[in-house]
Amino acid sequence: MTVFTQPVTRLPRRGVRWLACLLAVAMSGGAAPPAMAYQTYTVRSGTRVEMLKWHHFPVRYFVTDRAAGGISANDLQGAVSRAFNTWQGVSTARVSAEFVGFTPADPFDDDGMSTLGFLSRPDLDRVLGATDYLINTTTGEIVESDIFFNSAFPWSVSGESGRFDLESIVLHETGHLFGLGHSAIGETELRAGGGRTVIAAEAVMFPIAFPAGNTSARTPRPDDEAGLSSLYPREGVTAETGTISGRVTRDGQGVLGAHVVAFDPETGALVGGFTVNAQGDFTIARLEPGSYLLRAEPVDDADLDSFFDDARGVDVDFRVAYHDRMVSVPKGGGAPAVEIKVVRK
Amino acid sequence: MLRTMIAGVVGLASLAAAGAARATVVVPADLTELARAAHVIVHGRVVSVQAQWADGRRGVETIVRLQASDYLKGDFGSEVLIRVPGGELGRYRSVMPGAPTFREGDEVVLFLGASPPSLPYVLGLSQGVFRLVRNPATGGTVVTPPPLVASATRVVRVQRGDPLRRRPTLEQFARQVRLIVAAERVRGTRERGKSPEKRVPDKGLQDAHDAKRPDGSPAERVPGTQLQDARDAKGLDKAPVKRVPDKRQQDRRQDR
Repeated sequence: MTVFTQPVTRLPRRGVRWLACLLAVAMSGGAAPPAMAYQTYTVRSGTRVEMLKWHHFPVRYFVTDRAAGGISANDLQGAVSRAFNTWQGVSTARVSAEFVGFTPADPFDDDGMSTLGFLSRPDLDRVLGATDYLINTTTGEIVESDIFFNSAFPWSVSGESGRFDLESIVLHETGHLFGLGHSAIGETELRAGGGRTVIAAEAVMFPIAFPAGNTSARTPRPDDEAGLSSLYPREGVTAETGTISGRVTRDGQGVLGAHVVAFDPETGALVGGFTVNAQGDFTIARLEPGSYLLRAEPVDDADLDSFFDDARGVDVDFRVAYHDRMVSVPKGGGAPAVEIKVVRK
Repeated sequence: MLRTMIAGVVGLASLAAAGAARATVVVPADLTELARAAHVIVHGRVVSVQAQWADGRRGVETIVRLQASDYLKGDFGSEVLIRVPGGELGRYRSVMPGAPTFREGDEVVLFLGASPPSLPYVLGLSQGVFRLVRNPATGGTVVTPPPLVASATRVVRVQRGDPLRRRPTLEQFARQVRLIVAAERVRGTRERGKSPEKRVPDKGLQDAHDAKRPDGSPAERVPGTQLQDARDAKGLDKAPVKRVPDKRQQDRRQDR
């Protein structure tokens, strides 16, 4: 079984909007904006489940020695270095990476070298960047991870209008390199006449890119930081936080793939988790002690393959619902199990 | 070499079956954009999934063989081979986060791109994948995820759990896609008509309109607006699936 772990998300200034939205929805009982925390990978080996992660630091990486998309090799390396430094700066986690050098090799070659660089891949249309792993599925250890950036798009390292911000995309992909999955703390809208665009995101790991020219995804949000610290925790983090667990049910039956959001109105913390089995069980870990409002929502606005390895059993046929009372989370422990009941659309 | 490095590792188990996250930054598309961009839109069932070395054993890719039931756009014949990144070969598992995964027996509608001589690929990595699943409430089959379709005239915020956005039946979904494809043909024809060099008055419009009448009944007036086209095309769900031999696409397929 794959385990999703979603620690605390604190919302800084930008989170005020989310907080307000969530409260408004809670009061009205209407549909809510999407909110989701990060996910991490796991691998199964027999009866054991291992978290997909690096076992040795620093992660040693290469950068391709070619210019593309308006970006020189040095500029690419600079953006990559800044992104790794940003992740290394997350105070609740411990990760490190080391630039080995430039290489003529391509990303996505299974050659034992973690390589980041531009590629032309017509078959990866609409993909700005992607990360590829080779893994030891016995231990969950990542042994190689390559990142490609699509040379078909216009890029910039200075936030130039009409060009995608390379550093933002590098930060997202290097988050994957460390083992983070996608967050869905983001909101989209459909444009008049066709097309979809992101209008807000509170996670670097949100899978849909901001429009070209936007540089706001250069800084990890609390959700991203919590994800990283879940994989590579600083000593003492676990004892400082608590957990909410429970079930999402409809007509007494468990709901698979429901997204559950815990929201602390006092601090603005948003925390997410998924129900991970047919019983509708979920666990939301790494919560700051406090009182939380819980909401369950379907992931009915996304391509499910982007979030689930096997999306066939994922249920999206229900309305947003709230737990009928606040849940108190103790420090270093778990709140009593809860049940959130949903109804069909 | 990595293969040497992990050769001694105990045999691989597969990734957990449920819920592993994916990992790619994409430019999002709504259904209209997908339908416009697709060379082919096919409904069918996966009959085989085979991983293989790609690019001279430099990486792993998976070839998906699809038994086509019908086409909503274009035509690749009764069987379609699709290439998706990643896969598992022996003791090696290559994961391209964000890439779709398929299993034998999966029933899907795929929006495919083509870049000859390579095999077709799913548009937008996994954005072009719509799966047919059983609806326990009705016992019928529905398409998931429910498609997102932009309004012609207004911005629409996407809200999770919106009770108005439900998973359509295959027939409803197919109708919606055909509507978009037909409207796109009309639009394309109009744009070509604006060019003096390529002006072919009303031919494409008439084709699009006639295409909505596979029973051969006389066509009515050629609609004057895209909105009218859309309204007219609402009857498409009652029509049999339209198979449009596409010589160029077939040639591509044979090139493989």
